[in-house]
Amino acid sequence: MKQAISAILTIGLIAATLPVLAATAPEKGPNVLPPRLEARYQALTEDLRCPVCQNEPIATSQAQIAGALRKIVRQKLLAGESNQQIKQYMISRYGLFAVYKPPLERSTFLLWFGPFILLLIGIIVAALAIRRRRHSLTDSEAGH
Amino acid sequence: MRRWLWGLLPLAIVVALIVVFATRFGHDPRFIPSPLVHKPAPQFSLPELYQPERKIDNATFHGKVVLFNVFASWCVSCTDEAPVLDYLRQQGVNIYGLDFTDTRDAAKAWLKHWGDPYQAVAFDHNGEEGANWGIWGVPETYVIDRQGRIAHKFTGVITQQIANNKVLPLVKRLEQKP
Repeated sequence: MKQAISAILTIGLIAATLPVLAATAPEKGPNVLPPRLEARYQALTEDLRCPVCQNEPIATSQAQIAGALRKIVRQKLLAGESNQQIKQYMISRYGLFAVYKPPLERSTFLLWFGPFILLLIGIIVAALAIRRRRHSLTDSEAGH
Repeated sequence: MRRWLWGLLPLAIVVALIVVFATRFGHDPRFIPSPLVHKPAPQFSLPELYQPERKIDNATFHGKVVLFNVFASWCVSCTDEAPVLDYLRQQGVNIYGLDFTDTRDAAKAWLKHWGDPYQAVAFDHNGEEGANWGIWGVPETYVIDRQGRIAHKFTGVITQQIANNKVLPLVKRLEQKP
């Protein structure tokens, strides 16, 4: 009896993990990648953002469009395109939104340097405030 | 007096930030402007839904102002759009369909049930052409001018209001151009 229960449980557990395994297995189809491209494919699809499910990379998204984009990435890899070319293609179709790490250019200048500019302003303001306080302290000391 | 002004500085910064966030980021974050607008439509070629031997490509739209409407039989909100597209068709607008990641049988059954406003339907079984057009969701509608450029892209359902206030005036304006 006990054995039967544990057998059923084991089978149940294995069955429960099957869909997960299926989901993470590399996609089959006409564009199966050779192992040397597989790593680049993984990295690229982790770095490209799914347009519908906005905070997911296309690597893991279940959305239809993400599946289509993965196929396109595979085809372009097989066609010998560089990572840069593939990212540029995505940007030409979806804008800078498509990449998690947008390139440095005029429209993304504030995105990259905004925090440092704010930090600099903060340091200047703090320095001025400290100097003023010192001045007023020495002034009042001089006044004694 | 000057001290008092310095005291207002943080408040001024907060107000400035509120203004920036309200104006720059106030829109729906799901709305991403398409980089393809005002550019030539991507080159494509797809089989027609009903006649697989017939090709739908850029030449199909040549010299016409057309709506290229992305739909799918699994798309729930497309059912809301169906009567509006039919209304646009009755107004004389050329509408072509892009059936995105679908099966022929499901799409045909869907069109039979909800109405078919399309002059022809490009059948994109695996969604690669749709991705090449930069679609992110369904429904979406591209307005293409006589020169084959994308004049505008509507994301989401075209409501009766959008059809009257935006689609029809835009199509008329584009049709008046040579």
